[in-house]
Amino acid sequence: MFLKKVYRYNKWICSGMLFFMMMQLLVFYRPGMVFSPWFNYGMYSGVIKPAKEYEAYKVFGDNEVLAGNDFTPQQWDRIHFTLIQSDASTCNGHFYDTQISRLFKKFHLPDPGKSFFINTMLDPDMIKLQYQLHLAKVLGKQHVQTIALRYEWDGNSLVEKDSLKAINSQSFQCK
Amino acid sequence: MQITAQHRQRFTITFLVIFYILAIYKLLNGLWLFQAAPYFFINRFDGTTWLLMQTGIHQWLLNNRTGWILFDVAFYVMPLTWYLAYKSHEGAGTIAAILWLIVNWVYVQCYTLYPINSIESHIAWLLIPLLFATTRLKSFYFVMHGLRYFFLFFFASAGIWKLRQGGIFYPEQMSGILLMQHADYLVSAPGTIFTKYIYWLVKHPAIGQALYVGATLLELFFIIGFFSRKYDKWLMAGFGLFLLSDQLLMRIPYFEVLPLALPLFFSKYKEPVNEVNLT
Repeated sequence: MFLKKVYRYNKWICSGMLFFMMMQLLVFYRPGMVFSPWFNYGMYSGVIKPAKEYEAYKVFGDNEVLAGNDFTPQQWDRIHFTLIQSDASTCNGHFYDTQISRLFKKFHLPDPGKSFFINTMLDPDMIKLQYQLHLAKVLGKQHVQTIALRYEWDGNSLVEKDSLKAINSQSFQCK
Repeated sequence: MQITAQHRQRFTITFLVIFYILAIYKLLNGLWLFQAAPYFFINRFDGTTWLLMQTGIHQWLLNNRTGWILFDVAFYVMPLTWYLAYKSHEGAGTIAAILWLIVNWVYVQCYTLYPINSIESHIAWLLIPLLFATTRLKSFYFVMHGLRYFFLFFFASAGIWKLRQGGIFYPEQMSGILLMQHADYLVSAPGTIFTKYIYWLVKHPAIGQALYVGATLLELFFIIGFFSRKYDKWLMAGFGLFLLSDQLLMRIPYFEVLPLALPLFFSKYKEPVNEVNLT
């Protein structure tokens, strides 16, 4: 057995491995909070049903829609993932109140202070503005605009819903 | 054949080549920290990250060009620094590896707090320096095999999660994933081959689900590695297929995990009988 051999060779290495294994199994057994480097590698394991409606951003560079096929997956991620996360960043305060502060109290640890966990440099609107300025610079455009739109899955393709007006941000719900 | 110092040297060089190819690849895709130019961050449900955040280092880096360059230089120079130290003086390699580990930890924790990439895909950088901290061949052998078991777990657990969470049992799972994953792309580039291909898969859920089940079985196949090393070549091929599919179908680059697959290639060498000092 591998661990037995390691134990015979070096008890420190063996202890380190056992500790690593136990932590990994604990994180695996009790999903939710992780402690890097112990993660859960779910990779789309939860049930994901096709929805009737989707919200998606359209990004315009000098009034032209940026098309996914003009970018590598990595570049496209940088454009869209950053945009979606800019909405999620508005939840930092909520996350601190409902999770971080709660758990620190639960384990009788001194409250770390909210300021470390929220964006104090820029408010959400400024983050969006900064995004547009940064992306314009990266793409070499004069200006960049973003709009979030609702789309309906009609069984054939995603169709823009005319009845809904454009919204500034996706309707992001803090968890 | 027993593992030798030459094998460790080959392992090291292969790792360095992978690391620096990835560095160039990330540079070309604007993924270095100075190119991402972070100006906000996102919290995550990670206790270790919360401890680091209390130092305020992630806030210090916001809109801090000098800080980004400093971090990038440290992160991308460390493997080479370690190698030179390892080659130059006994014990210097271990100290450099520990320093490398610290640099990687701080860099990866901060880098993934900004909306660039997920921390899970950077796991290799959080663990690999431990392997290079070893100065004896047997230590190297055992730590390398420890990493091999971790890599097996990495995949096998992804398969087990799909059983546990029920994704594999839902017939339209892949249709749901594809629409969710690619919504922004699909609406931005209608009529392209990729868009047509994705819509076709969504409209044929049985085929989509066959791909999902196939991916799950591939992940579960890694369990066999816990019992035998005979199939490591096949596991490497499976890993290659996973990387390719992730890139082509999901448009998810998972190449940062590549170094963790190296132990599969070197696992064919047996435990050394005699201890060899590597420095």
